[in-house]
Amino acid sequence: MPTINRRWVLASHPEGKPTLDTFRLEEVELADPAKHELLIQAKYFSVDPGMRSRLSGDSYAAALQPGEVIEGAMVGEVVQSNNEKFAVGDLVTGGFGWQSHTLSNGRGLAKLDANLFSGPLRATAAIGVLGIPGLTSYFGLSDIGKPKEGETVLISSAAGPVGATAGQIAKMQGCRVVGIAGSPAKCDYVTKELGFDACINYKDTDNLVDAIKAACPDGVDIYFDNVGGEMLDTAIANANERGRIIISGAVSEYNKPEPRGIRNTLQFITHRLCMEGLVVFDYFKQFRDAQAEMAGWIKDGKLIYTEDISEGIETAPAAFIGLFEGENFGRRLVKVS
Amino acid sequence: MSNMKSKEVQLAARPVGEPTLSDFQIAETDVANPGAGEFLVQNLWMSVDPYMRGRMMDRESYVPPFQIGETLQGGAVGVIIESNNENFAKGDYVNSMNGWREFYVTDGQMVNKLDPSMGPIEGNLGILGMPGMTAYAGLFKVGALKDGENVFVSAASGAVGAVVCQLAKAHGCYVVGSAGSDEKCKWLEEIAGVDKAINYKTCGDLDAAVRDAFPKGIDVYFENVGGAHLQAAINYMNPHGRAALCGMIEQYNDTSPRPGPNNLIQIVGKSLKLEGFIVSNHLDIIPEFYTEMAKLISSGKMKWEQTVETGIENAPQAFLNLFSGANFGKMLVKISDDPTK
Repeated sequence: MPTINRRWVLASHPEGKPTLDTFRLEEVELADPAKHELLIQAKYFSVDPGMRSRLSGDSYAAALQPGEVIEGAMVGEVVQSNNEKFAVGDLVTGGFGWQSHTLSNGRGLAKLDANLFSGPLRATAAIGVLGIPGLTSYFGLSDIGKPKEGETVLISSAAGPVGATAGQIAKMQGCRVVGIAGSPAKCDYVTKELGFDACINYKDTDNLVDAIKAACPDGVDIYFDNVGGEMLDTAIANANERGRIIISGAVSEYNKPEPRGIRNTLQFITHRLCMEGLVVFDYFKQFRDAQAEMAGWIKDGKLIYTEDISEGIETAPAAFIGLFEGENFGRRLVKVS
Repeated sequence: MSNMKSKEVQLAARPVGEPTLSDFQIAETDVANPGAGEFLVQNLWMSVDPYMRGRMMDRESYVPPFQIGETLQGGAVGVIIESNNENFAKGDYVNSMNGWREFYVTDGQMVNKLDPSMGPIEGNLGILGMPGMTAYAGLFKVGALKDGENVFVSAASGAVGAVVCQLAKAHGCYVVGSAGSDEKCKWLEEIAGVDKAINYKTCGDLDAAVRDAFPKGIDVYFENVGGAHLQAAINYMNPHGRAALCGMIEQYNDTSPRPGPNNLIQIVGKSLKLEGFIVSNHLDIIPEFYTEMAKLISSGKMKWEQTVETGIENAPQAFLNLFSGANFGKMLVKISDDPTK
């Protein structure tokens, strides 16, 4: 019996901020799985700010073309299988994008390890805290940030999935951790639940440079950036000598036809700063070990994660656009079934 | 007290924007007789360097700011004309940070004896001195250069840039340099041996010129200029490219930070690394630096140019020339002929 796949495709390249018209929901018929194939029904997929650059420009991955399925990470269940490696009922994850069903030959598909995903580790963690955002936090902090006990770590988008995880890991390393977020509720969450030492509500301050200085009296040794532009500049202005800046995203810049960029470049020389961008797939071979370590922290209650679930595949574009308004609280996922 | 006088250059006022001659004053001080353990040096050459502009501002940086009414400091080489110190003899050549003056008395701390057989003594202010070491540290320690990579150098005919270019060529790299005159570009291509030189003042679209010069992209960018150069370099850097940020002369006279690169999102996509550095954090390179430079100089693979102003009174003008690009290669001030010759 044919299956109807509902999927979001790119309707047209957006200029500036994406709108609902950027996306189009289609229904296509999927054939029954052929030999070695399997059919997956999505349970959840992710909406990621980093996708923005792929909607219009070229990036490390080539731009999407109109008619192509919007990308995202998916966790789902095998509903039919002619593949000996996967059985009906298996929970699987892969980068299958914004769609309800996927036919797969098994490539790029990973079965969730039942030992790992138990207790506080829900299946959705596979596309969150143990997926790309969490791994970005883990490798960005350890490999570029190289935190030392007693150092000060400043993190933007601190209530977002990357920032929240990075901050908790930095706390475990004995650092003073200061977040930046966009509402009192987020700042409360960051300090009270995630355990950051302080959190700055950037919407409630006239002078972010001074606010950072007040919250980081010993200066900033490591800045984990998800915002870019002016916020990056203010962090640079507060950086200590030999400061490290991890660039994991630039959510304030993605929608600007002419990004603001930074002005405080001379600080790189006077303070010998090092700024490095991170593509988490460069660490692919270390993923499994990192996931095991983080899973241990979660089960020990040292690392918490928050998901912001948008109900129904129809809500995906609005859920994505809302990321740029800062309306998400934790990892934003779309619940499909 | 001896009856000798030393002419010295002092900071008269903190420059705002581009420095002018009126920001400097010449003073004359009495030269003391060297006491026990001390010696008297006559400076022969002094260096003017772009980084000194930063020290003229009252701000926190890696070196403390110059004070108004005090004699400036900077690299200088001189000869000892009187000594009461058993480790330093009359006639020895020494390197110090006691530039911008004709004479000084010292107990020898922070003063290094030089080997005049390594080449012209003033080379210790350039190719064999701080600029040369900066080139080496930036290229190999910060830039982590690998043989055969693609290297872009801004201010490529300058004191640092010229050494960067030739070191990279000696390591089998494809090297493109930018400079501000046809004469400098010609020198880069014909004497220093770079693969291509870009005259950034006449090329029109620097971004397109950099793109066309790097069919295989840039692996290491050695930054001396800032602004449009950095933006263009980021645009054409390869995945895992490194930018060694050594100087940004274009911005030293700015009174407020100007808009910088706005293509930083590529830092994520291409896993780029941008790192500022100063040579004094990398002094462990010195032995390998001398070994490699001696080899390159003796085999004719390391060339250099210098522009000389004569007389301590002309040191401020020599400094100003750095910002107009009037210098070619290392900018030096010749303070005196060698009295021992």
